[in-house]
Amino acid sequence: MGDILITSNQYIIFTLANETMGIPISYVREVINLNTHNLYRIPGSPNYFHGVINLRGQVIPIIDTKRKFNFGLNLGSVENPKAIIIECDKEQFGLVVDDVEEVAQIEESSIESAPGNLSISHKDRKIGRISGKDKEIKDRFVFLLSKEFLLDNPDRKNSLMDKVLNEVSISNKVREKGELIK
Amino acid sequence: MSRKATSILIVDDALFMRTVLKDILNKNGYNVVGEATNGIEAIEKYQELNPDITTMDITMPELDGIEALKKIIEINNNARIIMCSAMGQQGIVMEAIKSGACDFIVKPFQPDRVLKAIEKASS
Amino acid sequence: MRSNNNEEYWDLFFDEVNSHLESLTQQMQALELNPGNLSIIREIFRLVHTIKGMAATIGFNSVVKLCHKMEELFDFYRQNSQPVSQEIINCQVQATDGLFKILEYILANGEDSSVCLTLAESMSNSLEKELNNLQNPQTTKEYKNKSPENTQSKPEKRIQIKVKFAQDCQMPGVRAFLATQVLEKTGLLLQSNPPKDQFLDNNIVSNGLTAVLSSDKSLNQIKEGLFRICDVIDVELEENFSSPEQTPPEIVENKIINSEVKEIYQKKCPDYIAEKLTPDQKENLIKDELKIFYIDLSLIEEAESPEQQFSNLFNNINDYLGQILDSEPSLSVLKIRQNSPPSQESAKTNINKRINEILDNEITEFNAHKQRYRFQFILVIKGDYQNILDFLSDACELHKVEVKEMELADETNNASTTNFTQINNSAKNQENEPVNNITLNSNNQPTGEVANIVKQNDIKTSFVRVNLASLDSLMNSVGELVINHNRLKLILDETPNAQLRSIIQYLNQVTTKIQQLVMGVRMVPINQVFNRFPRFIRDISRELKKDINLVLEGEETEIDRLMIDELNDILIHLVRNAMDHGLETMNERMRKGKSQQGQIKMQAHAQGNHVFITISDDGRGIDPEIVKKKALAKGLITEEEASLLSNKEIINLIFSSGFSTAETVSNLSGRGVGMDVVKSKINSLGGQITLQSVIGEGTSLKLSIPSTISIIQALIINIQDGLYTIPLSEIREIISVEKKKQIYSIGNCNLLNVAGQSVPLINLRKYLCTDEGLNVNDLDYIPDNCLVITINSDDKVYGLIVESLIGQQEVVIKPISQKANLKGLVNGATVFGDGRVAMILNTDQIVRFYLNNEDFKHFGDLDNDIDDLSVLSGI
Repeated sequence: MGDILITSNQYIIFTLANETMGIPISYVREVINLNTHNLYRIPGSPNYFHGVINLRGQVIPIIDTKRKFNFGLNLGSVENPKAIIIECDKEQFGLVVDDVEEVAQIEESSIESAPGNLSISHKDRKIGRISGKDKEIKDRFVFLLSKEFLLDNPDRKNSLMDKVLNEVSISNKVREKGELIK
Repeated sequence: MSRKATSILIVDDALFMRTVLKDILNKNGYNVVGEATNGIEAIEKYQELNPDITTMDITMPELDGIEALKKIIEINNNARIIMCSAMGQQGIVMEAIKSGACDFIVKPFQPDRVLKAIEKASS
Repeated sequence: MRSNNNEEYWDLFFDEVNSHLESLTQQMQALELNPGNLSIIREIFRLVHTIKGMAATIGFNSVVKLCHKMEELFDFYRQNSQPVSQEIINCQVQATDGLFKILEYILANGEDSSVCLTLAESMSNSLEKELNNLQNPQTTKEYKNKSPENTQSKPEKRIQIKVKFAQDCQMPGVRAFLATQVLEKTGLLLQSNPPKDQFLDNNIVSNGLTAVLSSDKSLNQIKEGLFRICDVIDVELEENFSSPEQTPPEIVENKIINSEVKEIYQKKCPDYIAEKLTPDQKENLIKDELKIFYIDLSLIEEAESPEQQFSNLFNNINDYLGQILDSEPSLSVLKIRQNSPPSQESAKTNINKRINEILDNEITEFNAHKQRYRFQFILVIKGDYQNILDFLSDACELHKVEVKEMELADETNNASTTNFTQINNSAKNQENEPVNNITLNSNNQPTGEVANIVKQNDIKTSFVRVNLASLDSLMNSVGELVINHNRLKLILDETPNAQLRSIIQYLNQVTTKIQQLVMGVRMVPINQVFNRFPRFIRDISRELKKDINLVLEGEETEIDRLMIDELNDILIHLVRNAMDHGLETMNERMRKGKSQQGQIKMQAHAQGNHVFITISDDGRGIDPEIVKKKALAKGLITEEEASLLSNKEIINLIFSSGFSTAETVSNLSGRGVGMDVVKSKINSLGGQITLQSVIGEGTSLKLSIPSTISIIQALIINIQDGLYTIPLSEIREIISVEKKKQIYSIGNCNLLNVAGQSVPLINLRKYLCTDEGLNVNDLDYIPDNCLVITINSDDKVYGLIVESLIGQQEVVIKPISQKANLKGLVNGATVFGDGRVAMILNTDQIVRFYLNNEDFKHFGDLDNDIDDLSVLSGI
């Protein structure tokens, strides 16, 4: 088995406000425990930026993922949030997540686009199926984040909001769909 | 040549500068044999004392250091004269060297530089 | 094909030749301004000659052919010392371009071809014509037989002399003059560099003095004489004999062929070497029972397998003579090379022979080749240099050896940080000169490493770009180092431990040194940009049929090299504008009673953390009426707005997007890139641009650019428990203010009276802390006692309200993704020693936001309005 192949199909699976999501491992530099006391606000930043942290001398902006995905503020925050540090286009960002579950392999063949009737905005929205390790554990469906989504041009604020709303609704529907399949 | 024997004439119109220079030299075993406060006095004292080395300030009343230098060199072609200049007087110092000065020191005086110049001039 | 045989040298060749061509272009420009300057002519001759020799060696005949003709022409002028005519300069400039083209062609196609030869021939022919024209009116001159050697009847020794002065040497020019006096007493001074008439320029002389002396005195006598001068810390002498077959009698006994022995005093032993010594050795060194020597030897060219010889030598020395502390190449490298000796051995010998033929016995060798025969090492022994020489002459086929005694370094001496890499660097630069011997003495180089790197950067190749990237990451790493070092210091304060303290102190020194070094390396003189302009102006002015004189000032101003590329585009654009729109045609100038020749001035100077560049012309100036009309026509402003604007503000409208003042769009400017783009580019570099123009007198654009973009001095301030920093260079003053007494508000605006001027106050809290509460403009939100930092933005003064000052320190700028810094209120962030992060404020942008929010659509109105208001309120 070629290593390159494995890497390209691996995803970090994390939870965020009861959602299960995945992000390609190739973007991920590391996962850290986020100490919210060490967050420093960036004046004038979009509101989904929590601020920056000092990660061994590097200044890294942290994206409040719940806000970005418009999950609502009332969900509160978990006790020990984590941040996934990703690197895209030579820039580093941290994504606040509730927990990081595992590194999972999602085969190309098991990734599908969201159903056509749901796709209002984002082209790259994908759903992946994680095969169960044995018969006891069933297959799971995760919402896969793409680079394009993460680093959306924030200039188009309105369309972004639309998109986020859409993504969430899609994501929820996907869950339903997953459950249906189960 | 023994260092102790080196006799020095100090020419400077400022008492302060003379004192500073004298202290440096005396402390290091040189023999300051005389002081002069202007060019004319310098020439007189030079003839009178015939020092091994003369330190010569450039800007002085009556007769300036360059003229005094030229006169002394006329008297003794081998006279060893060290010019004392302020910063930024390169041109004048250069002229002094052309006229026969053997070296120069720059104010404010740094003892080690003064001593080095004297040492080199006396060897 | 011959050229293919030498392909391994191509990189080297093109690198070097490019740098020569660069210099050649510069010298040509210099010559144009100063056609009678013999030293420029000589320099050009030398450059062309060097290029010719190199090309001949590598087998590029077209280059050789063209160079030969260029050289002949300059040789004529060199011999006749008459000013070079404009026609000939034009011809030569074209020929230089031709050389560029030919070399480009060769590089692209991998060989010298008939195409190149045709080009070379056509250019050579026109040069030939010029030469004939020159020679015909006079009797034909004999060339080449007038070299100084032949005019000398006695076969006297010629001695190359290098004198170095102490770093803190006062009036080095006078010292140099004293040195020439000493030399003139001992013999005939044939040459000195810098020449005597430049001694009064201390900058030139501070690098030391080199001279050629013809004398029958012994080297020791000369040296003694020179050392009698104060501040002379290093003297290097080297004998050349006018006729090669004459071997100095005193070394016939020895096996050393053509060798010279040099002792240099007061060499400092590099730190890293000193560290390798055992305490015992150090003690013995102090007692003078042991000595450290630096030895630089090269073998005769015929020597077989130098690697073998060197590694044997290495072992033998360690066995019998003393201990080798460091060597270049190292033993392991020698071993590797021994197992895979470079191929094409015969080709190389051929090359050397050819060079000898071509360059009339001036030996030039390729660096790589030379390096193979060269071995440098540092040795600690019980004995004297004579022991070393005896040993070496027995051990190998020496061509030349240089032995220097070294002193143990004292730690504060900067010069002591030389190492072999550096020495090699200087070797590379020196290789340019066709001298018989290449002696290496790193301390003799202008300012060591930095200067070398800067010089090498003159070579405009893609290689530099690669280097830039690594420099960048080096800079980042240094930033990390500084930050972590600061953290370490904080820990130290908590746990005092003598040993730890000393380590950290040492680390402190090293860190500072590295930081300075890296910063220094990044800084390059702005003439790297400016130098491109004489040629640019020359070409364009011809096209525009305008006579333009370019004045450059402050070319030595240093700027971060990252800025250089960015600046180039900006300046080209601005200069183009000035040439095209600013300056009138020659007729128009005549009619106006101006001199026909227009002037463009480019000035640079540094102040604080900024470099100011001014581009001014003495042209027609910008007519506000025309600008106003255009702006109205383009709908940039309304009539009403226009009536409110001052002339200065109207002129500044040319920075608005979509504005172009040119009546007709020539093929030079108006290519769609407007001043708005220039302005935003400058802003993105953290700089500003201001414009001043007087109708009929000219226009002047002033750019202020941060001189470095990675480490700055900054003021650290506190606002609502958050730390922020403001670059010190932006701060005018800091005023302690009592709210009740000094701050008054008019409308939505809080003002402070500073020296009779009303300064609008910006409550930073509003922009930095709260997303909501956008109305903190209230006086209530200003603390009773606060500090106001006044800054300049677009020529106006604003006050920033802060709660307290924490301090001032050097901060490393960390960029923040533009995605997160959407409004651009910060220029980045910095990390303190304790790990805390502070934003670096972009005060300009904050002011812009303030103005927008306060409904001041036109910046300009502010001044007037406030002045009026202050009158009304009786202040």
